[in-house]
Amino acid sequence: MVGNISTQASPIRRGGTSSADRPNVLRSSPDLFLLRDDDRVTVVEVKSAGATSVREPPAVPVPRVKPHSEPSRLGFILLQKWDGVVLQADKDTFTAQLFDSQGKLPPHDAVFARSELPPSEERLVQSGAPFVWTLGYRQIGSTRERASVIYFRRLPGWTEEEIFRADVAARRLGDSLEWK
Amino acid sequence: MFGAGYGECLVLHLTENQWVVIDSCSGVDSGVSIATEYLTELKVPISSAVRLVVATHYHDDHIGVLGEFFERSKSARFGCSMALRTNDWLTLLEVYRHYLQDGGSGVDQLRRVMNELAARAQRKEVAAPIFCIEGRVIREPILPAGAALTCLAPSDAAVVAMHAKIHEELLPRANRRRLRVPGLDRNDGAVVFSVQVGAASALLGADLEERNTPGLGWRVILDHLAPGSLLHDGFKIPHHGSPTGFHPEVWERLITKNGWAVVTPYNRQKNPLPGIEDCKRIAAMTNEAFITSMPGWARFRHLDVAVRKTAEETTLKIAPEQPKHGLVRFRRSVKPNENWKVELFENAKRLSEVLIAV
Amino acid sequence: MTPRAPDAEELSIVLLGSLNPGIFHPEWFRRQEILLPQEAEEARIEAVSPQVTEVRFLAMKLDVFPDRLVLETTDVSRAEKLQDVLLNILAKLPHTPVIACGLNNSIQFDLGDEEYWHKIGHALAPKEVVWNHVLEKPGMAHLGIKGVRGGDFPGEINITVAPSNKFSHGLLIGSNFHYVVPRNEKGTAQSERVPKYLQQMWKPALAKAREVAYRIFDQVKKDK
Repeated sequence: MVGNISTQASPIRRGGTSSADRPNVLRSSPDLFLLRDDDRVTVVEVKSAGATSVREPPAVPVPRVKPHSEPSRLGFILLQKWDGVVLQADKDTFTAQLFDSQGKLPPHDAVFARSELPPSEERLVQSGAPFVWTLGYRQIGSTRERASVIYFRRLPGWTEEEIFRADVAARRLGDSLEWK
Repeated sequence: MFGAGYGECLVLHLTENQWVVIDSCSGVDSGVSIATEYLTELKVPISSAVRLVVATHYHDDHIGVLGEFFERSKSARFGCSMALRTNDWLTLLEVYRHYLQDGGSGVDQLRRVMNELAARAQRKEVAAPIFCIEGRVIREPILPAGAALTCLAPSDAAVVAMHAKIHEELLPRANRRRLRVPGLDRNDGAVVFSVQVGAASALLGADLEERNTPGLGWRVILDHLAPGSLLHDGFKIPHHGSPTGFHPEVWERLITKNGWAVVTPYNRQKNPLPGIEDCKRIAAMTNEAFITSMPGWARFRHLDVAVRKTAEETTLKIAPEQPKHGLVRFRRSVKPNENWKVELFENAKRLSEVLIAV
Repeated sequence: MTPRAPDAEELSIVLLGSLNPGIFHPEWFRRQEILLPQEAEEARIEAVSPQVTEVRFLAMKLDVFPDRLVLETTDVSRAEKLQDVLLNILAKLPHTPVIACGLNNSIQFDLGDEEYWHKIGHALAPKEVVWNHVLEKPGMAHLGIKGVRGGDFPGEINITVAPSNKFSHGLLIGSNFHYVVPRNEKGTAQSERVPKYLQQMWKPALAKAREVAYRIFDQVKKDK
């Protein structure tokens, strides 16, 4: 695995490291976890001596030991995620179709009050708008509370190129089917 | 007539084992049309026996899995509203190839139909759609002798109005927000058929609503009726029995007194259709009214108590889509003076039972 | 029975290519309408320079180097915001050469049971054949397994299993969906495929670590 391009991200959080500390590597995953007698974990990261591209030969690896970092005290335990789409909206509510993100449950329908949403999300409610609804526990230190988060997708807008290509394809299709 | 809490499909047998399917929804297997399941059960060879597949309009409760069914119907022509006969519509279908969110774009099934038509055109088969507009009559050789589908809608004005709506409201524009195809509020472009097979007849109302606008809705159909027009034996009630789908003159001038009527529910909104008042209104028009399944939201269940509690607290309503269909089957001989036989399957009921249940 | 939810989870998207870290100031995100004005205002800047950028916004962290961009979050309740931000970055910088893309998900379970923890380690890395003969008290410290992925976006799936870094007797499972962007006949990477990859492989990528975990829990029972 040494010298190959990798896109793995490190599961170990490093707080406050400067760019000088950062390894100049194409791979950012730890290569080795050493379980010590005191149950702490030492992470060993293999560091390339220089930038690696697909044309350059692999660099000589140099091991670098990093200390165990403090685990985060914030987190979200995900119990259920729905991908939703707004079907209809009026001034107080919106109706949506929901799809289980794991595909295990059948589609559901739901009606939400717009007042459930913060203003930044509420302004995005309109027919056809995709959103995500996650349910779970929010972990704060040693406490946990049930949480429900709704946010609307902010996908990039349609591009001129997409519309131009579609128009060209449509005309070709229309000619072949006598659609016009 | 098939219907669940969401979705409807009309399967017509026109004698001589020749069939027409109008609209589509998924069957028990959600990847397959209910029409596929039904016809397969009857051992009907779909690839040769289905003569015409129609999408009355583009709303997804009418085109569920339509592409799958049309691909099987190798001998069928495809029919749709003249309101879709615009380059803007085809451009919209093509643009929405790039919409990759869950639940699809809302028009994926129609694009699948287009792909199948394009493939047939490549093979030099007849691929041109049949565009339905007021006055068009579909008969032999597409349909068997003695059968005819007469289009009563959309009107010319409705076609023009829909072309404008597609251009202004539906067609994506550069830099505009990437959304699923929104459903337009009104179904002005919906295809309404009068079907006759020998002496049997039915009015298929699709989702056409009354608009109180000149040139649109049921008014224009009534205005264009010739004196002594056919009184149909039965009525597929438009727009899930909603008040906007109702026009009393339609019942007076187009439906036989106490003719049969069938309605499909639509649960996917705050107040499902048909509501109680809608059911009462229909029951007042005929004693022979039927519904494919009960309207109303099912119960939300989840294995995880925390999810169930939180979901119920966050929403005003939440429920699984009604998976269970109902079938109301109407059969009669094509000879004159014969009676209809009505059979109810799965969740289908007499409308009077809905009123009693409330 | 509902499968157990992970006790901790992290997500990240990694792009490898040629980037200009200096662009990615919160103000740029605001002007491009990727962030709302308030979100840009609340962003925390650790560094913005031609060599490296590190900024935090919307409960995510963005690190940009000349050859790599990493967008990560531990707030999985808003996971798709990661995808939205990256899709918007790619839409606003359509000519960014991207040679590889990785979708990473790591989940951790607090097993709370040392014996079970060892049992899993032993099941995944048995000691009898080799390790007991060459080491004193061998224990599984890290396991990496690679698989292939077919379909429209062929590539690799890299799975990591290791002791948790958050819980004393916990399990960490990481998955990496790695995609090397194909090149055209001129040798240029077809970076325009990346947005589609992100959208189509998002769910499978986020499901894989759970799939591994549930397989482990299903095959290695606590009490047997």
